[in-house]
Amino acid sequence: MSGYHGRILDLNLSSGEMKEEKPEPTMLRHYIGGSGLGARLLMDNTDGDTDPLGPGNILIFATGPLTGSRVPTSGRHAVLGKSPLTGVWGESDVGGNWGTALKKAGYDALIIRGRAPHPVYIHLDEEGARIENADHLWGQDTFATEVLLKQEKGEGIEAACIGPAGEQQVLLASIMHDGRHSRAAGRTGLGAVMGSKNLKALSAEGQRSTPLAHPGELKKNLGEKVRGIRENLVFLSDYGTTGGIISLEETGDLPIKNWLQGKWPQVEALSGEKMAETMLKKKFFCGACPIGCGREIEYRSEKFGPIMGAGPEYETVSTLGSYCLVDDLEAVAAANELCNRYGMDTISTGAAVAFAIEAFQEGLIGVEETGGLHLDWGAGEAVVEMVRQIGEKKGLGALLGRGVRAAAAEIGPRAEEMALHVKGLELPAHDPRAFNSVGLSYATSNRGACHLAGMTHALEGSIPLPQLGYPEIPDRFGTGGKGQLVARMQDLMGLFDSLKLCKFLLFAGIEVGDSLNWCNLVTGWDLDQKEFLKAGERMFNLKRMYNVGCGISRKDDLLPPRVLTHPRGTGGAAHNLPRLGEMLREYYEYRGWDEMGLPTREKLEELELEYPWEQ
Amino acid sequence: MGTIRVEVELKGPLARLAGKEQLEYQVKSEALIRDLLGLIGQDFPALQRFLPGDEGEQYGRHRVLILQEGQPVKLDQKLFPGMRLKIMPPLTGG
Ligand code: SF4
Repeated sequence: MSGYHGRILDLNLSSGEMKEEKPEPTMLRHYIGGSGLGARLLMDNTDGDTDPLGPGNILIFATGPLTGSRVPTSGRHAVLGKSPLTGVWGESDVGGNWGTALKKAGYDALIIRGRAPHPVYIHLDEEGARIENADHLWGQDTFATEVLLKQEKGEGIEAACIGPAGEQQVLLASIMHDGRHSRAAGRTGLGAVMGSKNLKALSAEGQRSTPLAHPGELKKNLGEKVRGIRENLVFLSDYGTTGGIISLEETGDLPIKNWLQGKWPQVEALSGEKMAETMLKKKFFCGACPIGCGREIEYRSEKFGPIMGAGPEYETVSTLGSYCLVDDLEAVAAANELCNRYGMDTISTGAAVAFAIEAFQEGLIGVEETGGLHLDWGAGEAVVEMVRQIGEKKGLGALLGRGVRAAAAEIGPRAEEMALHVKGLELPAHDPRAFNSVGLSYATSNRGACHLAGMTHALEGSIPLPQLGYPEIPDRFGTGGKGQLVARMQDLMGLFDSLKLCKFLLFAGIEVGDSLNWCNLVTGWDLDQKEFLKAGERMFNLKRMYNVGCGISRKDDLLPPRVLTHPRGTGGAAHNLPRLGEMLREYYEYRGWDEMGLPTREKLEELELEYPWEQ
Repeated sequence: MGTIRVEVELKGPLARLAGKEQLEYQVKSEALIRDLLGLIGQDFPALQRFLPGDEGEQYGRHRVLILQEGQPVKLDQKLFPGMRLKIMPPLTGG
């Protein structure tokens, strides 16, 4: 079974019972690994009635067939569960080194059920898994937790853990990896699921190598490819993910002032170049990555004291910066460090703070709610304090920590238009008014507003993908053909998430051909492009079916009114508004879904998926 | 064979590395964007590693973003008199 160890560990924290399953070869060929394999496992174990924070929810950690090989950027894994933030499909794909450690311990995936009677952590190595007491870790932030775990288990382990936010089941909580390097399974609140299980951390170590079907050929192929990847992604490597922020602002893609504004010259103050000049200590890499977009920072701020750990990524400088009109990199970096230590999704947290600032400015909340804090646009110190309140589940922070959908519902109808989310997940930092396909992608992504499920801003922004059928860059303001474009990209990105490849590879020209080739060289399969892309389509439809079981249909494939009706009037996409209805119709048709957005029986049969409405 | 004048604006770190933001070039009237990038690379060696070099790279998509009136251009596109290009960091984001 090349590419896999053939071992899925199923662990029940309520009873302490553990069993191992050997995945069927057909299942692996159908769902590949990571996100796809996790989709199958989540579908088989939970449903629309599952309480996301109850013991009946499961948490899945899944590697891909490429994890543990030398295929560039493959040191990744997926985390899945039913989301407590959205109530639907929950998934987060993450880099770092923990996924590789899980694979080296000899596991392809891990299913965690039940709820431990007291705080525990799980240690995994080649001898098996052990549940250990974590009373002494409970209450520690994510940086300290990793240090303590290494003291206990040795420097060779890799750690995944939650911080105080996850322990308190803040719905924006994430699962953090690699200590100070803070690689986050950030989105959809899976840290709260981990907290609900009294599971503080997972440590993993091992030496098992991933079996490779064609090691010689793979080695030869990688030698050529890695050089090209390094050369093409030199900017990302030199300046990190924030290196491109001025271009994103120029094209109108950067959300500004809670999505109200089209231009913001102050953006340079938050750029990767600025970070390099002021705070950068060194760059860091996820497992098997030749690029190294991670920024380790070290800085002593007069206002915020020492700032350390992973520097803010593009999404973070946007949500905690431009969303809130904060052009103070120190404030953004301090708020980012708090998110990392508490273990919170910086996208949803920053979006929640921007929402609160607007609500404050419009008089919907006042100093009574904020604990005396003046939430002004651009007030960096107030943003940092608000993040602290969310992490500690205190004051207004307790409400914001339930996400903008819930917060708006509590504050009142006028707050609804300030709460930008899809299916309860806050919008990330790519504006659908700059790239029409992004709007459709947000509306249809299974976990809610997600830029990574489709990555279509890359294609509409600058990268042709000839093997996927796009030799030219499509018109970003056009509507025709976007249904097909988004569906194809979602299917391909699902495959990246299942093989476990980083999507920045797209910017180095890595698309269908290379990912398929690596899949076959590692697993020994003979997938052709059609079967490969069909696997991506299958995963996407399976996740959709999960959501259908949670009550999702056409009525939920929406965009927030602000991005549908409010042209910003300035900037690189001053007047464009995405025509969602038109694109959605074409999308459903291309996907073989009915007008309510439900996959048809024919489509499910074609994909060899079960049709659930027989009885 | 005549020549034409084109303008280039460098943004962000690219401007810092070159030591200037605005460039002007007088090029052959048949010149392509690819040729212009070659000249920029010669004049500003610090920029060389960011400029697309691979013949197969249609858009120079990978290393930098090259825009004309907000739209990405192809490397084999012909320059025209008064053309103004912006060379920017790539749109990687997060
Ligand atoms: S490019 Fe960045 S995010 Fe992607 S694998 Fe490499 S270090 Fe990780």
